[in-house]
Amino acid sequence: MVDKTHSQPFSSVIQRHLRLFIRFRYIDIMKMLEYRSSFIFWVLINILWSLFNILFFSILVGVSGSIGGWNRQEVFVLLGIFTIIDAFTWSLFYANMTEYAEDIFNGRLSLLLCRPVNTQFYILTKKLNPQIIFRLMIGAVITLHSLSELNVSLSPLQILLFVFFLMVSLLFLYSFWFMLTTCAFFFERLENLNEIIPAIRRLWQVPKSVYQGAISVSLASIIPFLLITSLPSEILLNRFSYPVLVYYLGITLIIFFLSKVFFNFAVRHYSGMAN
Amino acid sequence: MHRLFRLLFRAGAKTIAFRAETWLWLILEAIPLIILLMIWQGIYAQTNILGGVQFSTVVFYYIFVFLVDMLTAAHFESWRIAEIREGRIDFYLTKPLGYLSELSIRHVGDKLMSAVLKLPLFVGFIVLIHLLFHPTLPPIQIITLLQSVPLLLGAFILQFFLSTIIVLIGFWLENAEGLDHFRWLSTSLFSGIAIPFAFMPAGLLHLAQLLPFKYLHSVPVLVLLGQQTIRPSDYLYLTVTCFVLGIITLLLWQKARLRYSAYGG
Repeated sequence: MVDKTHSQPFSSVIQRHLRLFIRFRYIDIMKMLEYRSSFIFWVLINILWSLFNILFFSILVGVSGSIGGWNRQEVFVLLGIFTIIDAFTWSLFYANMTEYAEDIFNGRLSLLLCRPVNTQFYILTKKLNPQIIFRLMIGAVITLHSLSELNVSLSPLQILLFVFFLMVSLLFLYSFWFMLTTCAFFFERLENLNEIIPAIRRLWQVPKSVYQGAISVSLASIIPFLLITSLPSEILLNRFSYPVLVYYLGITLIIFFLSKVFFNFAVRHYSGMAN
Repeated sequence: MHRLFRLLFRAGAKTIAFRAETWLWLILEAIPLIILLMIWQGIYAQTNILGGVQFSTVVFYYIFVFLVDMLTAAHFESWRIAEIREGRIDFYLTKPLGYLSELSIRHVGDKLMSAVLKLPLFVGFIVLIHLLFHPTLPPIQIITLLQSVPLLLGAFILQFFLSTIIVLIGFWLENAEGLDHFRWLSTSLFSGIAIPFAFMPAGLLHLAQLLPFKYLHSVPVLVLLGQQTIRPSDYLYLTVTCFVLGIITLLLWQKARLRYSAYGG
């Protein structure tokens, strides 16, 4: 793939992508205003699913008093962070990755590759459903309420680390998902490929201590899915260790780099015809 | 009859043509179950019995829920609604075989072929569960197996009618796919697919016992496990529910086909 931005100053590239990002959001808002009843309908569905998750975990914690050694409030801190990440999962990643896979299967990706913008940026940011705001709010409310019940006072460092590692978790999730969807270049028709991450996302809905043995080692260390929510929660609960944070950051950057390499490799083998 | 078999065969052939997708669906459906069992294993870490229920029973409860769901669930709403919205059902309106007949025959053919395709993977999945959780299989009697057959058939019909009603609402609503989420929510809450009835809070349990969703998962599974005896009133309730949903489906179709308009195709 040709690097379409290498000859321009970095600041102008950033500005152009930022402008494009804002334009995309205008389009999202216009779509939302066009289908207002649909928007309200989906907001209601999002709220109901969030309430269901709260009820489900209330029942699970109610059965034994704790999950993986985490008490009710601690589990709900994690559930709040899961809801925040889930907001991005559905409103940003799922919508864009589905379109990306369809573009590959239908041969429309050629159009994206020819556009004067970083293709990976375009694929990720084209759609962002405004419903995300409601899920984010629900997640934030669950997290803050649980923290207040635990009487946790957060230091500025904890808040900074939390925000940073929440973004690291999103980058990890995005990179892995992007690599997975890029596999669509090599399959004839596998439209449910994009359902793998939604299917496994329950893994990080509970504390990592729930998992034992080889599964725990592989999912917390080799491909650290279990850290996606556990690590930001541990930062808020002041249970984190710096080596784990550094390790997670390193793994995420490696996976992000690999996702770019894999995408470039896949594009080189792309014929441009519908697969 | 010959025509029916030809149509069933055609529906099955389509499923075979995209078998990689069918297998991936099974894996995608199995992953949340394995995760759920791991969560329950974490909950049972300190003890073997909670609320009078052993961990092995919980494992087999979810395995049977998975099996029942695999055999009875209907997932055709999304693409069928898109078909209606885009005006691609014209030819069903002019053929001797009606839209609802095509929909039901195709669903049965697809379900039969999917079951055959998924069976080897399901056996592998059971082996994996056994290796991961070491559950002890509760004694299953022939009589409970026989009792569960009409229940499974009833669950299949219920699921089919619920999906068909959502599809038919697509004639009126732009985003009828979203209604599927209401169905999933209701099913998740009241059918026992997510939370076994033994662990439900009293209020929720009372509501779940009143609603017919329990026949989708909880009742067939508990009968299979020998933990619930089926009464004639259960069969009656299930039959009446299927009948009422069938009437609603027919009424909706009568109204919907008068409302439908499309050109080209």
